[in-house]
Amino acid sequence: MSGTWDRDEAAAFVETLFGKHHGEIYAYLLRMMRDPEVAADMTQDAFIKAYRNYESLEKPENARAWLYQIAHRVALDEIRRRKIIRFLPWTGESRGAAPSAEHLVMDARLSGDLQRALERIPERQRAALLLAELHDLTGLELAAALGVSHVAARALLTRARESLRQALAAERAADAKAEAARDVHTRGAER
Amino acid sequence: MSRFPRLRRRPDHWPSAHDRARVRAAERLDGPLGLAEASWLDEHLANCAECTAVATAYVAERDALRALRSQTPEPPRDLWARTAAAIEQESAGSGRDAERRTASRSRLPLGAIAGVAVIALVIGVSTLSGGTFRIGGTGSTPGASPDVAILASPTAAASAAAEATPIAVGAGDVTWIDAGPGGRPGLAAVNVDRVCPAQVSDCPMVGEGRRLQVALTRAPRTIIGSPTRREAVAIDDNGVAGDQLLIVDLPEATATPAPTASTPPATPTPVPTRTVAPSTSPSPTASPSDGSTPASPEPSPSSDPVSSPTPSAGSSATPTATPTASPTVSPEPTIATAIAIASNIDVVGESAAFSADGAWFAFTARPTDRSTGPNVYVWRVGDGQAHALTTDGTTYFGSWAGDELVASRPANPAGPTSTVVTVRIDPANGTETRLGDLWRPVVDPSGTLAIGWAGTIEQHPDGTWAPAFGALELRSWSSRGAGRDRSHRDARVVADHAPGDFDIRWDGSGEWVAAWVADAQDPAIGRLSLFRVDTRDERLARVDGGPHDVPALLGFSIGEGRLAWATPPGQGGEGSRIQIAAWSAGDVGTVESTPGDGIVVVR
Repeated sequence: MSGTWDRDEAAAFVETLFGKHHGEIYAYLLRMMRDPEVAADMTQDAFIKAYRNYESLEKPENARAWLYQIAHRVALDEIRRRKIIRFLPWTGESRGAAPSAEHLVMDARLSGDLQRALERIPERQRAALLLAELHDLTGLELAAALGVSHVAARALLTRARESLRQALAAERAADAKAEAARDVHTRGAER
Repeated sequence: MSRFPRLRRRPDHWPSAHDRARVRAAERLDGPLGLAEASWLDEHLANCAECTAVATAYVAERDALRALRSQTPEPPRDLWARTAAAIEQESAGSGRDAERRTASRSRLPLGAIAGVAVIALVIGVSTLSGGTFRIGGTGSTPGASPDVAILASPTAAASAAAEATPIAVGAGDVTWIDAGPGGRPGLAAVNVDRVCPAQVSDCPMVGEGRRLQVALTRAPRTIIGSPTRREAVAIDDNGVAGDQLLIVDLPEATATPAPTASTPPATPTPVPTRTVAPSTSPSPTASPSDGSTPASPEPSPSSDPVSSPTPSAGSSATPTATPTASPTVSPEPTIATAIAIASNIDVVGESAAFSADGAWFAFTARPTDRSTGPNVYVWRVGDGQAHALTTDGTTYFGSWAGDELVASRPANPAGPTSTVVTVRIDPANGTETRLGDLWRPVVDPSGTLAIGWAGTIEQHPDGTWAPAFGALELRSWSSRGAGRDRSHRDARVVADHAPGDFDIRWDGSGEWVAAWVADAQDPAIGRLSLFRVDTRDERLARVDGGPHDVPALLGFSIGEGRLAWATPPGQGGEGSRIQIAAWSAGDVGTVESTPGDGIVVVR
């Protein structure tokens, strides 16, 4: 794959990749960012970067993991930039605008304890869980996508499972506390 | 967040047995543990309710995450358009600038940047074309037609200035079948030799001449004429019995001399000709179909010339604008028996076609009982029956390329989405050669260009495959299949959204091509566009005065300087009309028929 950088060949290759994988890449970025507009922009970024870095792909059979690696870096870069610039709060709405219908639908789909718990765990752990469980990457693919060794990827995933368990427990405890507070309020109102 | 230790540790060094058990329980979800470690974990969990609860929680979380797999968000439909525009811009050599722009994406919506890129690209195309092409708009809205260049012809402009001047064209016959009185289908034909410029609003209509009998009891869904013989294949919807394909002899229609524009005759003089339709030579196994008319020819006297006044005669406010698409008829034809070459099938898609030499007819179909999926069927002219050429149940006929046919199938038939495998097949023996990945390519007469779906396909609930993501576009074509053309993409795209179905047909010269894209809601209605093909630069140009994205029923005919299609029935119960666009030396004009019922254009 490496060698002369043929723009036409690269464009055709990326077009094929896009046809095969754009849906899952968009879904991954949407799950990471929870903003359809941002996810679409980042999906576009990812494929443009794939085009630019076409010659870095050693084996075409690894293209999917390679693409996820690019998308993962795009996501982390964006998250990092947001943290530095504080352009938007992590769980904030898109660019200060009212939430779009798509966003509301996405919220409805992914709302609840699980989504909130996912948001509470570190980005790299969240990425590892999403890639392994929702996007069905194998261990080697996961390592390639995360840019770490196989052993490190597995360790990251193990930590992510424990982090998610604790985050879920915290979310449920918070839910229970809020529910109890509502009950108290309701009983007080009834009296 | 995690309580697991991150420092490197010796394998046997754990803060506690519970920590070890939880790590192992998590790891076990991602792959088997070693035998000793697995035994140790099972033993620990058997005696530790807390660790068992944690292990159970891991499994529940994994299952909850996997349940989200079914919730697949839909990407924006213009995502590829804007990504392709950005890539194309980089490819054009402005990589540095594009990189800077992309780096600042977060400060501007990338969609807006992509829109600018598309505009820039379109302007670039305009500039590079030396002014030949005029731009028809910008942007790439999902569901809307992509931008293509418009061919602005100086002569067309001159015609516009002289509004009342009809355009003389040498278009050939246009034939169609309509329901006629009592629902009895008949064949009508006109010869188009003059049409109205697009600017003429009161263009007279083509009237219906004497209708000729055809061997059908009802109007077929589709009828496709042979390029070399006076016969056609009619695809007849036989209700619950599925479709059947009938070979029908077509009566001969002879062109009338075109009246002059200045003295339009009230009654054109037809040339009566005795028509004897050459019948096919069906094999003895062929039998008259249920839907055909029994062989009971009722020839009318051949000396009975049929004349049909040109409706425009004397009725136009601007007589010089009178088009002369004269209904032309022959004496009553010999009615041959319609022969069924295939039945108990459902024809799939709109790609059915004769080979250029008229020796073969190919189409896609599957058994009505759905015992298998779609396959390519062929009928050799003269044979009694069509037969399935492929057997995999996922192959779709695209077009003819010389004496072989081109077909497509999903690379991953297990679905639900797939890339495409294109194959060339010898109709005589079924030998296949793999050609690439264009879905249902329709190859031009020269064999150097093709239009097909470039992208992924998806399986519909009824088991058929249809375009999913990509674009219907023009590609170069060779014996190796479709090229990977990247240049001036916006002038090669026919549709950048997934059509339920499409029908592409080239004229005999390969210089003109028409594309019909089915409506997503009603597959019998679609949008029809005419393009002129710049064969040197391999780009499509929209034609001034020609149809673009006009509503059309399925089935159109292109050839000999004209394109004919049927409009959907109008509101208020008005029937369909035949619309004809005809051209000569770059001038394009149109004429239409009076409304009729059950109109089906003979392709």
